[in-house]
Amino acid sequence: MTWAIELDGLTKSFRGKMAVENLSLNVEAGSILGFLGQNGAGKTTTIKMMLGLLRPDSGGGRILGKSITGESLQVLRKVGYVAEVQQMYGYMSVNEILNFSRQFYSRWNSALIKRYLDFFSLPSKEKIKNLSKGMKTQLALILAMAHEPEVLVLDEPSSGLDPINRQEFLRIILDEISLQGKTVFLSSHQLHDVERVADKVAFINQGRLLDVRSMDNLKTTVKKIRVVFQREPGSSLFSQPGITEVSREGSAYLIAVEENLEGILAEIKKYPYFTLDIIDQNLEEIFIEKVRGDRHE
Amino acid sequence: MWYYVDPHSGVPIYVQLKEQVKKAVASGLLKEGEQLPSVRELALRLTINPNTVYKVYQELEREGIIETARGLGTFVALKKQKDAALQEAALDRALENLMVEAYQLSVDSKTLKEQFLKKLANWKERLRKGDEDNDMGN
Amino acid sequence: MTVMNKALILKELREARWKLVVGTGLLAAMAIGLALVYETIRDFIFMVPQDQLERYGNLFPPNVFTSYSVYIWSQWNAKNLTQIGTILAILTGMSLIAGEFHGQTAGFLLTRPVSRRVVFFSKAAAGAIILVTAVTVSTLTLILTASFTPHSVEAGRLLVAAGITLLGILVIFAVTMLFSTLIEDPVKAGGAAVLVVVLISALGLLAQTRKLSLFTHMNAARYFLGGVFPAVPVVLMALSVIVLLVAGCQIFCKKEV
Repeated sequence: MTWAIELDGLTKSFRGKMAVENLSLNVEAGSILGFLGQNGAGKTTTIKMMLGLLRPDSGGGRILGKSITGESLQVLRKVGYVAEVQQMYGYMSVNEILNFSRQFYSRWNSALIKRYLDFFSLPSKEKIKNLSKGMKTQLALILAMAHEPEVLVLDEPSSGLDPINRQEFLRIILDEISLQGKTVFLSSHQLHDVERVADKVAFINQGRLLDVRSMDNLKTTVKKIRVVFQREPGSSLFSQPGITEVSREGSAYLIAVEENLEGILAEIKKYPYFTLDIIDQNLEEIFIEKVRGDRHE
Repeated sequence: MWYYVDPHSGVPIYVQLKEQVKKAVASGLLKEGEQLPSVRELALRLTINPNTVYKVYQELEREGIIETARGLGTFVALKKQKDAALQEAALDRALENLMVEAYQLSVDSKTLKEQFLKKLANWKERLRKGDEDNDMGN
Repeated sequence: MTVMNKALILKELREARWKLVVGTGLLAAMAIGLALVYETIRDFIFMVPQDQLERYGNLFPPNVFTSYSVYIWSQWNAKNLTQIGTILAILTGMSLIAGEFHGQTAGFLLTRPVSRRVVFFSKAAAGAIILVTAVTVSTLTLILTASFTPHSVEAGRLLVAAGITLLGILVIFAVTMLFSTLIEDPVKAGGAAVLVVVLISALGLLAQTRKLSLFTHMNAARYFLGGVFPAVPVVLMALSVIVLLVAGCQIFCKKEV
C-alpha cells in the first residue's frame, strides 16, 4: 500500500493554546479521506501545516514522499488546494489569474480549464471581485486542478455553493481526481458530502484525532443494540471490548457499539431476550456521538 | 435500470448497491448477459466514490453474479457459470439468517416450513409471469 | 539559483501602476516647473529687502543663485526629489508584503510552488523599478527642460547626484519593506516608516548627529558643491539596502499564514 499523505505527530499551538496535538494520519494513494471536525477543531491548521503555510511546533509529514517542512515547493507542485475562503486578486479577471498561476507550474491542462469554465459558465473576462461567492469557489477548484495535481486538498470547499452546485462539485472531483487514481483530502463539516464519497473518515476534535476508519467499517460496526432481556444479564456482558455506552430503561438496554459487533452480539445472545434490534447509525449520528464522547472524557 | 443509494443511511453504500444489483438480477430486471454501467458511469451518476462501485463489482463477480470482459465491460453472468460452492455458501448464509429470525419470533418448524413453501410457490409464479410479460421464456 | 520571477514582478508593477504613473508624473511636473522659474524667483528674491530675506534663509541659502546649476541641484536633489522620492518609497514599499496579508491573498500566493525568497525579491525588484523609473525619468525631464532655457546645467553631475539621492530613496524603501513584512497592515507599516524618517531627519537637525542622518548624505551636497564623490556614504547606503532587504526576506521566509 502506498501512502499519498503521511502525517506524523503534527503539533501546533497558538499563544499557548493547543490547536493541533500529536496528529498522525496516513492517506492511501487513490483514496478519498474525509477529515471531519467542528469549526475550530484544528482542520484548517492541519491543512496549513501540510502546505507549508504554518510551521509545526513538532512533528512533520510527507506528501508523495516529500517533506512538508523541508520540501514545500516540491509538495506544492503536486498538490491542488481549495481554501475555505480563497481570497484571490480581485482586480484580475478570471483569465488573468489563470495565466498568472500558470507561470508557476510545468504542467497545465488548458483543455480541462476550458471544459470547466464552460461548464460553470464562468465569464473569463470578468474581474474576480465581481464574481459571486459560488463562482469564486468554482474558479478556485479550476485553479486547483489546472496543473493536474496528484493530491487535491479541499478545506470546506462547498461553503457558498447551493446543494445542486455542491453535488456537481463533488462529481467533478470524482471524475477528474478519483477516477484518475489521484488522492483527495476533503476537510469538511458538511457530513453529507463526506458521507457520499469518502473511503475513510478521520474525526478530529479539539486538535486531537479521535478515530480513523473506513466508511464501510464505520457503518458496519458502529451500531446501537436495543435489547430487552428476559432476565437480568450479568454485568460482565457490558464490559465487552467495543461497547462505548450502555443506558438502561427498565429491562430494556441501549448499547452503543463501536467495534467488535459480532462478538458483542454473540455474547448478548447467550442471555434469553424478548427483542433485539440493531439500529444503524449514519455518519452524522456517529460524528455527534464521537464528539460528545470526547467531551465527557 | 434505476440505481439508487441513500448515502446518508446507516447501511454502507456498497451494501446497498450490491443488494440492489443482486435483487435486480434475481427478479429479472437485469437479464443474463445484460451490460451494467461502467464504474465511472455509475460513480458519477450516483455521485459516489468509484472505489465503492469497484468494490461492489468485484464482490459480485466473485459471487458469480456478474462477469467482466476486459475492454468490453461488465455483464450479468449466465446462470450456469455461477460457482456452485459459492452459491451454496451464500444460500446457507441466507438460510441461517432466516433461522435466527424464526427462532427470535418463536416460530415453530411446521409453520416455518409451510411459509417457506408458500413463498417459494409465490416466487415461481411471479418469475413465470415476468417471463411471459417480457417474452423471455427459456 | 533564481531570485526573481517575471510573472511576480509584472503582477506587482500592475498593482502599483498608479504609484508609478502619479509619482513619475508629479516629479516630472516639478522638474519642468523648477527649471523654468529660475529667473522669476531670482528676481523676486533680489527685490525682497535683506531683513525679509533672512526669513526665507532656509528655503534659499545665500549661494543658491550663484549659478543655474547650483539652483537646480538645491531645488531638485536637496528638496523635491528627496521629499517626493521619500514619500513615493514609503507608499510603494508599505503594501508590497502587508497588502497580501491584509487582503488575505497571501494564502493563494504562497501556495503557488514558488519560494518565499523569490516572492520577496520579486516584490523588492518591482518596487525598485518604480523608484528608479520615477527618479530617472523626472531627472532626465529636468535636464531636457533646462536645455531649453538660456542657462546651462551640468547634466552629467546632476545625474550622478540623482543617483546618490536614488540610493537614499532605496534605503527608505528597504526600511518600509521591512516594516511591511513585520506589520500585516499597509497603513501601519507606512506609519512606522514615516516615524523612522522623522527620526532620521531629527538627527540631521543637530550638528553633532548631522553626519548620521541619511538625508545629510542623500542630497549629494558634498559631491555637487564640494566636488568629492562620497564613496563611504554611498557604500554604506548600498550596504543598508542589502542588509535591510535580506533581513526582510529572512522574516518573510519564516512568516506564517
